[in-house]
Amino acid sequence: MEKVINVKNDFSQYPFGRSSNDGPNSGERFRNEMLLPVWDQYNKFVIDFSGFQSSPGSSFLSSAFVELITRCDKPYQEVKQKIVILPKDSVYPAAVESLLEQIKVKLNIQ
Amino acid sequence: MREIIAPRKICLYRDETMLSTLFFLQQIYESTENGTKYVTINFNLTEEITAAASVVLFAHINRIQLISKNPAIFTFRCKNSPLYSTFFKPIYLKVLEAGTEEKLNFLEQSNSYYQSGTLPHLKLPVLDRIFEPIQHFYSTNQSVLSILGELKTAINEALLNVHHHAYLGFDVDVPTRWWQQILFQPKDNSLQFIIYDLGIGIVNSFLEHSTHKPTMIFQNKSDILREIMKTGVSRLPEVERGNGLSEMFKLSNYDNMAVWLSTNQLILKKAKPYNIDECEECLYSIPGTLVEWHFQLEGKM
Repeated sequence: MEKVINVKNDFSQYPFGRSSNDGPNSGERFRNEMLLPVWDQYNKFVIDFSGFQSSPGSSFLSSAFVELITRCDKPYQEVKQKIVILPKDSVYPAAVESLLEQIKVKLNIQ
Repeated sequence: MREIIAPRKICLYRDETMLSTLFFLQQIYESTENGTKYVTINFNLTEEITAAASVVLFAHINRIQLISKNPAIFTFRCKNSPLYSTFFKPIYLKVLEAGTEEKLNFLEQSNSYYQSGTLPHLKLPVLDRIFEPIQHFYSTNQSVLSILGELKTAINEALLNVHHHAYLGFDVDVPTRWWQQILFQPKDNSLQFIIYDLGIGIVNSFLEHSTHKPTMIFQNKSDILREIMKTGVSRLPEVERGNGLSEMFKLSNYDNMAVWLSTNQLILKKAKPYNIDECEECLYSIPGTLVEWHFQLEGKM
């Protein structure tokens, strides 16, 4: 079963920052409210960033997705398999992929 | 009442004008010492104010106005300057006179080229508003729209850096304020954006506030700055940190973009079309950190 999240419609027009210290629409809130409560109910999360003219930045993306691994004890492979970033032809999939790859290297995940 | 005469050229890009520009700033601070209530700054001889210097001057004057709680501390004379009708009157005078939060808010509401802020997330809708006409102007040019998107992301990361790192060690009630300027010239297809803060600088923030003691294998500040700018390098221990600064400068890989950074007595210049990638320690120190992105949106730089 998959859950589709349109970030602009379902979360905020202004996703920004890592934690609540950065504002009300942080990656931390996205992770805690949009992903973690239903993480085990779905085997795929399609996160759609359509409609934005710019990326919310590495702080938001890192907190929303990478910190599932580093702070919430979700296995790297599970996060990789479950998270699908759209639009495919935008900067978002590569940006998230790059952040996950960094973590893979830093944590020496095989 | 004291009067300070502004230099003919107010510019931080060139060695020959940097000293007089910084001396001018120093005079402004000195003039307000010992409880002086009113100072006149006379720009009548000023023939040139370049972008970075105009933001720096805005910031220091604004900071003195806010800290002294005396928005009328400075009076500006500029009617005889050759820049009066093109720059001072239509744009810059109201910026220099924005010595209260209300007036700073008015700059924001009126989409002024020059603005200030303290909380990055509150600036996001304003940045959207500022960029909207530029995006509209290039609405059929996908590559320009993509660059504008990346610039907005870089600005977001820069503002977060000010918020998190620039004012470390200051009293907690000191606002993490920055000053900014955007200048879009459709005739020349050029766009520049400047962010300036009056914090401790990128290198000092890293060296003095790292949770781990950085290994000092790098001997000069220039090498340390280049190291800090690498992806994944952070003063904090969390492995997911350290992407913001590299994201700010990722744009310098484009052929139509130049970046100018001043921090901790370092000047970093990157301009790919001219094969410029240099970072030098300079003789004089511009307080705080200034980053400037300059784009040639269409055509050659």
